[in-house]
Amino acid sequence: MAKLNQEPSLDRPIPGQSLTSELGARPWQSPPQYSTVDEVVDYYMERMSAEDFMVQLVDVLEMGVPVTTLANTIQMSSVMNGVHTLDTGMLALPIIMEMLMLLGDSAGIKYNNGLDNPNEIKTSNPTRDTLLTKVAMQYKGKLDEADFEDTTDDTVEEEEEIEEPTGLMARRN
Amino acid sequence: MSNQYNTAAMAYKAMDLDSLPTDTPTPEGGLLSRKFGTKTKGLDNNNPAIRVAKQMQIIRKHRNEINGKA
Repeated sequence: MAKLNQEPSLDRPIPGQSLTSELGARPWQSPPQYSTVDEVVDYYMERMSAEDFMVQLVDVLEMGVPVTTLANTIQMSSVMNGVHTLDTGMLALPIIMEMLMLLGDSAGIKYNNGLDNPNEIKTSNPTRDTLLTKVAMQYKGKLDEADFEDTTDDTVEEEEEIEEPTGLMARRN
Repeated sequence: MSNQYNTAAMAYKAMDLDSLPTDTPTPEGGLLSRKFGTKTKGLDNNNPAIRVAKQMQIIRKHRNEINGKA
């Protein structure tokens, strides 16, 4: 991991690159499509009521992606597309989360709301971790037995190795 | 994305729906009594956060019905 960090990353934007484009060329630099919180909430309600969205959301929630992360991503992408401002998006965040959880509840799935212990998830790819956790849970019994057998064998071998005197200056019985 | 400071979680936890005053106006007097309009105590409908909280209450109620907590 430390070796990866030492390599220079050439894919990053250079400092000041965001200032090279013409002012107003980016979607978030132009006036937003919806300016009030009510309009933003209506926009999200309509968008989340679509059947395609619900199907995709259930799949993502089943993979273990927290609702907080999803809500943040949805809100941030709308800001980047110039749908609404960051301020109105922040105000609409609780409703987005509540709506996502409502869809999860109505689908009858277990999901991670991301509110319980925010320090627990520190990896950059929670999806992969949850899949690994599911696989690990399937083989948990076998893994525990295997670990126990390995540890017992190791301790016996270590004890035997300690009893043997080695070296030129070792005491001989 | 770091979860050390999650804006969504903070915004969601800041919405204290349990302490939100009820919006039902209390009837006072008869037909000729002075009317104060629909404005209720403690609720400022001009505040966008209050309007968001009201909509959240409706969704939360529906969620509780689904989960059998109502």
